[in-house]
Amino acid sequence: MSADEEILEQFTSKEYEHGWSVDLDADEAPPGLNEDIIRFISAKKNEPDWLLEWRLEAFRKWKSMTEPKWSNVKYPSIDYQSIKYYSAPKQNKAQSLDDVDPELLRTFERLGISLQEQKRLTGVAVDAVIDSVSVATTFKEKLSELGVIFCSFSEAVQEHPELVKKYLGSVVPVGDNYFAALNSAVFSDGSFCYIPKGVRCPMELSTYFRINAANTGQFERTLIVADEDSYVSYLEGCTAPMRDENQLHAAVVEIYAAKNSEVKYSTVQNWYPGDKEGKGGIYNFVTKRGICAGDHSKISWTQVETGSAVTWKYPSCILKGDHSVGEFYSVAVTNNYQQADTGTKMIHIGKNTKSRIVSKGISAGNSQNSYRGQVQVMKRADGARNFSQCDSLLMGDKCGAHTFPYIDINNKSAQVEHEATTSKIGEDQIFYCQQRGIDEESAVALIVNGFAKEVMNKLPMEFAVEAQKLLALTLEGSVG
Amino acid sequence: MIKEQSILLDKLKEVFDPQSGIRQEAWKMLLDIGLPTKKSEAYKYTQITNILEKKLNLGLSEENAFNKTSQYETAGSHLVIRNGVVSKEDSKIEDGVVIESKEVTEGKHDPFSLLNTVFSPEEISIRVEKPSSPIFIYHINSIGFSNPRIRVSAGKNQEIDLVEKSFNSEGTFTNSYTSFDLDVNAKVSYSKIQTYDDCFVHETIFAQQKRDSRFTSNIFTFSGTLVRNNITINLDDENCEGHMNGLYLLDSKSHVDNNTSVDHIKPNSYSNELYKGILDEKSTGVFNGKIYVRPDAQKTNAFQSNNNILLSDDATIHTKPQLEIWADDVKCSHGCTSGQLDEDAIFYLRSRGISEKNAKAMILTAFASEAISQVPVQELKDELESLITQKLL
Repeated sequence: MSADEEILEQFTSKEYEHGWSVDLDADEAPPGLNEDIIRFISAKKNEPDWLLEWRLEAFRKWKSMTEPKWSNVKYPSIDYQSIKYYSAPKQNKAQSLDDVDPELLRTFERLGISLQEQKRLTGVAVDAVIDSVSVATTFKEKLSELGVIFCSFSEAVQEHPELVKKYLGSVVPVGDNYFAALNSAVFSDGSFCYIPKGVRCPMELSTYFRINAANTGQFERTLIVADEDSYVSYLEGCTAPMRDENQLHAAVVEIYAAKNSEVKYSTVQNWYPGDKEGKGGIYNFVTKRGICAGDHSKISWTQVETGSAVTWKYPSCILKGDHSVGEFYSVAVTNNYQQADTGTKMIHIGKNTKSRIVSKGISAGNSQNSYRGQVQVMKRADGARNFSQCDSLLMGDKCGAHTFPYIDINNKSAQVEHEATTSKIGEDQIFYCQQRGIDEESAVALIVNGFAKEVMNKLPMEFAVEAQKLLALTLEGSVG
Repeated sequence: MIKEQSILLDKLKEVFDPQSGIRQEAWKMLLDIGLPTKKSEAYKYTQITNILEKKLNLGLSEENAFNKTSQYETAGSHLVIRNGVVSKEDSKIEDGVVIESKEVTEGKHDPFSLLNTVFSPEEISIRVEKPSSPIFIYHINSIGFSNPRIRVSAGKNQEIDLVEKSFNSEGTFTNSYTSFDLDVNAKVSYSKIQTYDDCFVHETIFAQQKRDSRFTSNIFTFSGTLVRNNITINLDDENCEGHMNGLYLLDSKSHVDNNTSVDHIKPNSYSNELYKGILDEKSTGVFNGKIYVRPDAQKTNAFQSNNNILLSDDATIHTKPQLEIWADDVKCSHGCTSGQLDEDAIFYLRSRGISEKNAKAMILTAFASEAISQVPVQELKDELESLITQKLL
């Protein structure tokens, strides 16, 4: 028991590795939210009138809505008027890496993702986002040869307004939910990605997010459009500096998959989770949704969630096209006073649609980890197939694991299975490892990695390493 | 009090006659929390308040299908309850079984339990003084709104088997409340057949268990315009066992909502839940199974399973197996499935000369039989088997 406590102590006393702050001279809007602020953001970004109208409509809808209370998380109420809704590093356009603020480059280096390294070694095009404005985009030329558009959202608004206008809000409408409406009203930047017909994107597209200026809500907007017969794998990763105040993050990700296309979206989320008393940390209220609009299309979500004080996130798939496929793979790790309420929604509309859900929750310390998911089979969705599995691993006796799966079936030919288990790491498993000369701490890491392996395997190579490191870092030597 | 609920409560207020402190308190509490609305998570798929607002007829008094042949011809105690009041002349109680009519005592605090507390005519207390044969309970509910209330107390080391049947007249609303107190090492089984016509039913079943006790509920639903079963088991001590078995075999426009909850409060307890559903025509099935494992309840084993077969495209199933766990050293699992009949299995039987209809019935009977295997009373088991065959053939 004392050994356990010692390990627990070691583990819980671990400081956040990526915690520091760089001083970027931010160009900020005053705190508060009203139509003028929205006009300010829109003007700042030189947006066309239709987009401003779109934002204002979202804002009006948002004002009529109330903050949802149904999730299994607790946090002090947010004062939306005390948040700064716009902040941009002064230097907001760079043609090459030499033009980029050297301090910014050092930030990336500390994170281990220097742009040069990325560019040279991995062949990953990085659209680096610091405080809402895209600073550098690499490999753009190579991509544009194929007709792939991968740029910051504001750039897309300027250069490809017809595409943005067509797809923006088509998957997540402005009034979809409270946080999506807020995002629609005030989103500052994000990424836009368009894969033309028949193109298989040759590299993994990736965006690194960081929240940097104090008191700035981060409202990212990502839009991915995969045209017929195309393929793209998209990576999103997050780390944030240490902050005492809670920061709100309400992002929206929309994916549109046309006939025969495939989109793979992977996330590693490691925002500041608050200190070990539960003070500070990021509020992560994200709306992620994809639509398999065409027949035989596929959307796959993979996420590794280790950070944030409060997570509230349900990457979903609307399976509209016949024979379309939706997938959701998730590892959610909570420690100390972190709270996660995450899961997915699979809406089967087309015929012979398939979905697969694999969710692994690991809770330690005083944290609460919930899986909340919905599988809905519409009346006309003949031959729908779903398999869901959600497993929870508990470490310590003060944490909680919760499962809320909703299954609504309106078609007799649907075949739906759901299973969930909750357990702790068995003493016999630890013993087995120790007997073979593996110390307790490594044994726990081994077992946790094995527990999450099914999901980790779905991550692209570039991310798998980072994710495994994160998992090991967060949980090694927890409890026997 | 929320405005939209006031219609039903206002209607009830006209007949409310506060008799004792407990009823008055319950009424106050009810006004405070209100009846479930569209937005109440626990009643999401069953809009009972809305339906009752339109359909509740307090003045109604109908003929009832109950007669002597409705009773089981077997040894044991036979208790007849008319609109929540014990009917002594119809009942036949064996020695050692004590049936008493008492003033209501405090019950659970959810809206429909409170409603029962306010309006129940009496609390029927059932206890046994020596080992007894099964107790058969027949409810005859013929008035518009009846609130039967039964409290079963099982003493130390006692075993009681109860079998319950209700005869509800058309258009009535029955809001029953049945509670069980299990003392150390008591074993209680409670089985109920629900074959309702065009009427509305809300049942609350609540078991409170002490050390080493075992409680089993077996609920079988074959029809009903709107049936809601709330089953709560509190495993409030060590080494308790709670079992919940259920079968819903529905057609036409039946709507059945099984809302079950088992609360592991202390360590080393075990719970197991098995619900099976077969849904045909325009029927709707709802299943919500909750397992709570409290921080102290280490070494808990809790299992839950819900399997459904849909026979028609107009049938609907909403299922939500829910786990809430705050202790680490536990083994909990739940599983639920929904599907249609296996084509291969039907083909196998048909290739051996069995008609399609019989082949389907055979497969469905096998599917359903798992849920009735736990029934301890043979007479009931026989009846269930014949009901299932009747329904499926």
